[in-house]
Amino acid sequence: MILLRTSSRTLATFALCGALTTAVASCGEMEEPVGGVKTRDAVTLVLDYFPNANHAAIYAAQASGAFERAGLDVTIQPPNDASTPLKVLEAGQADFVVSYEPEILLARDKGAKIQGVQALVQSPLTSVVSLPKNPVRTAADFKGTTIGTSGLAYQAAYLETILAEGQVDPKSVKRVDLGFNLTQPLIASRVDASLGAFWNYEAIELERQKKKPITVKVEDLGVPTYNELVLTATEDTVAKRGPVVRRFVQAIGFGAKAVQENPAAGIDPIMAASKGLDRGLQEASLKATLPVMFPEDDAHPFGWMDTTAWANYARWMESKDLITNSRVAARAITNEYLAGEGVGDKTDS
Amino acid sequence: MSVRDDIPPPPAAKNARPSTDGPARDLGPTLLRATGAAAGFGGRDVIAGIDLEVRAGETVAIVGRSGCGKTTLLHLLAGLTLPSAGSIDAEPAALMPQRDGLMPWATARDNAALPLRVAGIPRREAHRLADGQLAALGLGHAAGRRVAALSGGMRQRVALARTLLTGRKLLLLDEPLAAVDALTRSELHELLLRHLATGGHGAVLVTHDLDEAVRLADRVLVLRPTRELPANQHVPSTLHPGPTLTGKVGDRLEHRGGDVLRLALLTELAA
Amino acid sequence: MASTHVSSAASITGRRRTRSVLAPLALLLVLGAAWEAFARLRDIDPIILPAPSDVASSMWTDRSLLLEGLGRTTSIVLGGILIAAILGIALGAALHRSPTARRAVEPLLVGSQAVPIPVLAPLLVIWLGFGLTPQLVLVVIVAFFPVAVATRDALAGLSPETDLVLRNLGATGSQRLRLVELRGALPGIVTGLRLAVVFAVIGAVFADSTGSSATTAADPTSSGGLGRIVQDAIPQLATDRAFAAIALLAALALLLFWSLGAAERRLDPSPHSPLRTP
Repeated sequence: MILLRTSSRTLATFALCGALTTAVASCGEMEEPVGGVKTRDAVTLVLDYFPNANHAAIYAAQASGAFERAGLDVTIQPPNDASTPLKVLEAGQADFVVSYEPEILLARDKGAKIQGVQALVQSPLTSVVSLPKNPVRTAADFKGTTIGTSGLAYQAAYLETILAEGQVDPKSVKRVDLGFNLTQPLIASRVDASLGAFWNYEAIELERQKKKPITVKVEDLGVPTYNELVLTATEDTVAKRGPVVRRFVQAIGFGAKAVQENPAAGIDPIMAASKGLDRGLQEASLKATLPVMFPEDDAHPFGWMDTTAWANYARWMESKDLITNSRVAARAITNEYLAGEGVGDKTDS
Repeated sequence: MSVRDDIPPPPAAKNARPSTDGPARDLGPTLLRATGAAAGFGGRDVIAGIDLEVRAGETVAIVGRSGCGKTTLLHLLAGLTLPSAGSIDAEPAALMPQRDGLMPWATARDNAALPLRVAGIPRREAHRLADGQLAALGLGHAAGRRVAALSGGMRQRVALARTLLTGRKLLLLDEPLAAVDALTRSELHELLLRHLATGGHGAVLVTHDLDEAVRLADRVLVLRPTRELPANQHVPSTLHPGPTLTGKVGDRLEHRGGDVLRLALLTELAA
Repeated sequence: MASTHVSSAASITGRRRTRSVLAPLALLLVLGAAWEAFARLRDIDPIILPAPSDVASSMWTDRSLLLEGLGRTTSIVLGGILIAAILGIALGAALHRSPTARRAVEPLLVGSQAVPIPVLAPLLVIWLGFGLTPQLVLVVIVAFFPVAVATRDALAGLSPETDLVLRNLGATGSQRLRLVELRGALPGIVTGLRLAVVFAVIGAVFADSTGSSATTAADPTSSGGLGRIVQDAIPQLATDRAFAAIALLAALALLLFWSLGAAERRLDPSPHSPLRTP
């Protein structure tokens, strides 16, 4: 939209700069094809969880050849343990990992030199899920309930914030740690509601199983908004292998667009990569996720991270004593490598 | 400590070999000489002042109470223990330990063949030789049976086969027939006599069975402390000559001579 | 009397063996029937507790997935056991040979077993990267200990008189090992292996659910073992498939345990076996 209002001269300059940047960026990394095979950069990506619809853009990028065209040989590795992708990143076993905004800020607060380079979803996926026998729809409904979480510190903080929002006495609410299995205890009525299940995954499966879940997103209950899934790399990688980061991130952007046009472009490779998945669930999940995959503002490319929102979330974390200093958010992310970004001066983000 | 003089020498017994009084029959070279040897552990000598000579062709029996150091003595003679005093000059000896030392999971043949295998003889050849030795001891039919499935008497024969297959002339046998019932024991006595004699071995036989000692050996020695053990004092055992046999090697000594000898030995042990 | 004893020896063994297979099977059937009745009558949600019929039907529906998972887990278990056996036997023999080494090494060994597997598994990935290596290492770590201890004990249990004979013959250490010790210690070692296989299966499940294979452009399919299948099934509320995978894991462990038991019996028939001549 911006382009339409610009004069054609600015447009030409813009295009020229873009082309030059690309050319300069490419020179150092790839050999121009002179009738031979291009050498490709090897990249290892470790996911946050087993392959699922949240990774559609990534898998679509691989299956459609976008990585190949970007001169990348990408290995997509499911994680060894849901809590250690960042440790794997720091240990150098991966070039990129998929992590979560709260985890990134927690790690940076402890001095880890990592940076988010692309948001795979724009909004939180964490939600409060309950069943018709004990519906929890508003903050006030929490009174007198037993809530199951995954035991993560920030989930407990979400609960505190929600209770404060609904003016519910925290003493009337019991919190239990369910690990990563949040659904079975809910069905078995061991808890009244779970906090931590994704509204685009577990809740959808409950619906498909005709359990009629009541799902409320945490940002609708007073928790500040954040990016649930963020592609992360070390500052070192970003500094020294910038062009690879750019090509990788932008190829994923292509994958996202491909999925938007045709969900099967993402679903098919995910099903191949993880044979235990239920296709129906993955399709329903992707359909529910697509609306929050892209930034609301069309001007921003896929993967855009809002620095204001990050700063806001970090301040909330500090107020909850989860981190010591909210200014770690300052250099926690960079949008520079996204499509159409990074032209001209490096943005101070 | 001497034999009674008023008993006449016994008449020849039924299965006796021609006797030789006076100078011993043809004995071969000296296989073992111990001079004033002592041994023990923990700084304390269990045995001391051991003087012993064994020549090829003779069998020496050593009797004594349990615990007086018979096994220590054999280990000393075998070279498994170093003397703490004195000297041992001996050929390599074949030791047959008190509880046969067989491998229960293996066959009689495997067990008997062990010395040959250690000597580097290939398996097939070793087994062939072992089969031969076992057959000579009456176990030809059982060579392929596992030792765990054999009776006590058969096991002793396997152990004996193994001991003979070492090819060594000096044999040290520690209570070889202790675990065997009385009936089998006399069969095995015959066997031992035959093989010890024909093989030209020099054997030291430790036993608590006086009949056995008398029956099998040319000489009987008694292992006991030289003097009474005072309370709280340890005195190492020494070899004392047993009374001279008035019978002949191989005699059953059912007659009075044998009784006298037995009595004399008992007196020795009790002293 | 003697002839009747000998001729019935084989049938006694046969009867005993049939009994030892029928009895647990019968118990299993009874328990299964009770479980099925309970689940149906109480109308329990199969997402919480699937009935045996649900599990069985999942075994059929998901058979190709489950078989692939079984194959992967089995290969990790077998590979890990093989390495663990070699390492464990070598270590056990070394500890037997040197009492000083034993005093120094044993406390460390025992300590190594106290590290919880769920903690160890991700650490191994951080140190060793992804792929087969950390999975095998995890299995080896949990499986080698019982083999080492069993080997050491078995060697120590060999008759001291045999030891005397060997010393008297002047046998070298390697002769001793070859001619006597290995064969004599074998039944004890196999006992250790029986324990080790069960631990190996447990280890393989953890290793597998924590390290599935990656996908690349060249190879866009990946597979995991039974542990991965269980982990995937739970958030998808496919509890029946999770149980089916677990049942297969149990069957794998049992099969390995039993077959080693049979090997153990062949190596060293018990003194009370009717095959022994009185």
